[in-house]
Amino acid sequence: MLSKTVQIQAVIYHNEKKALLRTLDSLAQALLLSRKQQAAIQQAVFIFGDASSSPIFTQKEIQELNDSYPDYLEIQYRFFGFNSGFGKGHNLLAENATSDFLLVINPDILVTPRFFTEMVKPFLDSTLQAGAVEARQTPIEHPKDYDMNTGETLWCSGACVLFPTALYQQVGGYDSDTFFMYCEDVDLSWRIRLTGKKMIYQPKAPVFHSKHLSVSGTWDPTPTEVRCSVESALLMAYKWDNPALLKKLLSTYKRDQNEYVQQGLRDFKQKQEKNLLPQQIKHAQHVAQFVGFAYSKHRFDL
Amino acid sequence: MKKPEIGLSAGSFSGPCAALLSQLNLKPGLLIDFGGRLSSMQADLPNSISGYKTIAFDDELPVPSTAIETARKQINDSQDQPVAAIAAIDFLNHCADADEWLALFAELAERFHCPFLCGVPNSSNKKLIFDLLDVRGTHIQSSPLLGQTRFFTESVLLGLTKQHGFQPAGKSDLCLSDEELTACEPDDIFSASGSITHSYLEWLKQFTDPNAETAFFFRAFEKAEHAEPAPVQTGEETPFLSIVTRTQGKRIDALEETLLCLTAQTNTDFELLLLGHNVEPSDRAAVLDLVSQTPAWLQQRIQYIDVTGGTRTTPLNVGFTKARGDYVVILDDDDLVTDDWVDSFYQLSLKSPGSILHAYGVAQEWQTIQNKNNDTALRAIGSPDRIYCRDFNLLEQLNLNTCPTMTYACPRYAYQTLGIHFNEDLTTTEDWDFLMRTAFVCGVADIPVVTSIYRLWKNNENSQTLHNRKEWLTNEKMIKKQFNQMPIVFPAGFFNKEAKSKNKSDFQSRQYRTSDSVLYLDHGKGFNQDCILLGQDRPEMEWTVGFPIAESLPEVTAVRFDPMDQGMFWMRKFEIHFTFTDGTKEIRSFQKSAHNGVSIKDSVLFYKDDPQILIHFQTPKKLKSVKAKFEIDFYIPDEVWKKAFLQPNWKLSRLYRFALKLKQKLFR
Repeated sequence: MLSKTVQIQAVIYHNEKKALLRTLDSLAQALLLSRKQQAAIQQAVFIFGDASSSPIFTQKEIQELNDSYPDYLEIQYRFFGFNSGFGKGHNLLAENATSDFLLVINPDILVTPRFFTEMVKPFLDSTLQAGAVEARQTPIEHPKDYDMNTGETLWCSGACVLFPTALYQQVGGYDSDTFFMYCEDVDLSWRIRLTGKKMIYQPKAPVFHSKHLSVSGTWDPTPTEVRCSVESALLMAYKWDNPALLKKLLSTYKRDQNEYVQQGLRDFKQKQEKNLLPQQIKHAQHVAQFVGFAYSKHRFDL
Repeated sequence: MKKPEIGLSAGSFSGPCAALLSQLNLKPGLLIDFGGRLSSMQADLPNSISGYKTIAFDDELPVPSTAIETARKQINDSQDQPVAAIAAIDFLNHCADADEWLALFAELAERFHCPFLCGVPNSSNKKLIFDLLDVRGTHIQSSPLLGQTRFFTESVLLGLTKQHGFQPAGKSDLCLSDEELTACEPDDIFSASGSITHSYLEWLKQFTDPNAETAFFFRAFEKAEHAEPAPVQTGEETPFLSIVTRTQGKRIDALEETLLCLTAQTNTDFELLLLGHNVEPSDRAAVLDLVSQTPAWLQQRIQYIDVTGGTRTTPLNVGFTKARGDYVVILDDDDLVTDDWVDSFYQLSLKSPGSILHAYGVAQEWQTIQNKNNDTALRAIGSPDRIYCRDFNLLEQLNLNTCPTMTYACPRYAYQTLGIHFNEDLTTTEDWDFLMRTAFVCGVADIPVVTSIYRLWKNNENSQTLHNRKEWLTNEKMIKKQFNQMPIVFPAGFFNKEAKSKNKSDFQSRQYRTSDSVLYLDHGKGFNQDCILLGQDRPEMEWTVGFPIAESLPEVTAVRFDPMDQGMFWMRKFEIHFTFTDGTKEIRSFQKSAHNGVSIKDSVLFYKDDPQILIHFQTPKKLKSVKAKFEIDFYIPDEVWKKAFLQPNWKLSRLYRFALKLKQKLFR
């Protein structure tokens, strides 16, 4: 029987404690079932990386949590003391990880009991050459397309994704120097794909990710999300050496009246002026497939 | 205090009591009559009654405890005689301590193994209620309610007797006479039969109270062998929301996801009644396994109930009967909800207690897929459709249901107290029927937040595929016939809201699109329900409806295109494009087809329901693809009406005037 370990890591930022504990509990339940079913994942470390301005948990609370869970699940907590952002936070948590797998999650994710059993399956199929496995978000599923037979997709969202730890460390984790929010997951996915591994979408592992639709049936990003996604889109086009797309994006954003789009555009231009743009990855068009302004074909609009 | 007259003479008790006694299998013995109201019927007692004993009191009302001891002593004095029955007619309603008297009656019924006859006036009969509504107070002084110490409805009577271990054994209630029902002043809007206020109150009272016309309850009770569980008591801790989920255990993946959504709720003040309907043993085990794997706090809130037999509606009635929440909602085992679904209902309940709570939802197309290892999974394939993102509109709801079940929570009292149940004779649209009957009484409050996703399965069995169109139409007709028999009240503010709603026809037109266009196929044997194709349309300004054609479809000699179910729309630029398997193509417009509308140059006004466009082929054809394109306007300009009906035909002139009046009413 395989006996694999996983480090589950969540970067938290002023989150409600009750919600975090519920996430922990759902993962503990999934780990229990994985052990009962003698599936691959048998032990886990759950680590909170706290990027808040003041600690959410005390050491005593972490100790009490550890006492309340079985030995095969260890709870760790690390207060960064600064706002690391998503990418840097996860890199810090992963840098000394020794587990077989690394599970990157948003702190509000809730999983089904079969989660680990299903998420690890693609890694057990050597024909898939899985480099990362993404869980299916619910109730609002991500619209990106994937091969229904194999699950292969072009990139994995960072909301809930499983990596072999060694591979994550090998490619250097998230490019947190370049991306603060948005596209760091696309960028990491493409760098992993450059190693020959594939991104796999696992529709049999639904995870609850709190999202809401407007009364128009659309998902409306917040102003910060608009600003960051604009800057990140430009950075992606630049980093992955797609000058035509970069030109098109710049032209499109320039005409956009939305003030947050303009802020994102300014953020990019400031980086450009200060020579802070990332090192480009050239000759990677076979991996860096931009589909319009998106990073893969979408099954539907959201 | 004197015992008051209640408007019913002792003589009027005789008939019902005699009828009641005849329903019971009495042993020979005494009839012990508390209060002596049956003294006049001694001669008419059944043969099994060997004697009659009154436990009477002076003109003074029975005094607590003393009177009971007196009564017990009087009975003990004759305890060597068997007792056939104990009666307390027009008695408990004069007792402040009815509870203690019932305890005595229960003791005696147990001791003598005999039934207990109880007669009390119905304090909730409609005549009394309507009289009290009249602010002039004409009837107050003579109301039979005066002088009553304890008020009884059927619910109160049955509840009190049940508490003392009684179960019903017979009844012979006395109804209000026609004279009593109709006696009122013509200007009494609450009671005068011609008044619309009276009509509504009358309907409401009859609808919610099966005893609306009962003046006096005459009931027989016997001691129950086994005590039933106590009902929910006031003050007992009950959840805010009861969620009723039916499952047949066939959609485990979807059910797992639905349970995951409940795990995510920010407001956990709910219970889940999971009703396994006709579930196979292996599927049952899978469902229970799933439940056992949910977090402990959720497991404590889940009750699994097996339901066998009946229709698909039966589990709903079982679930609603067992519900303990203030509100009850149906969540199908394949639908999704956001983490604020329960809390949205809760927040709304604080603003509008007692009404149906309605939130917004979206529809989304999904499919089941299989990977190379034959693992099945679920996959979203369409954008969320905002079609259910709108306030409840009573007027539109009379025509078409636009509320998936998980978008509304009904007050539990509507089901459990008012008796509004699901109609198990309906094979489809039972939820619409239930929603409307509840809405007519409770009203609906809205919260404009999207909290649910209604999954439309494109390659799975669902109610659309399981039930044919004829069945849907039959059920729809039955429900609408029922609506026609009810007076309906619109809430204050409704008409302003209607007038302000922009693009009035927008929802109607979009909603009609989900009532798919239908293509009937004539394979040489005429049109019938078994040979139809449902359209797949794209929501654009110009409608385009395609029909999936299977390769195995036989040749057709004609087709009939039904754009939608209802009429009252103007169709323009109609073209239907045919491609045949022999490579040929054909386009037909109104000019080359027949229809049941009224032609206006190149367009057609369909003013009647069941609009149809008929296309004949000269020779039988094998279809490869069919696509219909057209524009539709639900707002019909005056000049179109005039052109349609301004002909030298007196019948059509009358029809024109009727149609114009109808149009003016609808689009004012």
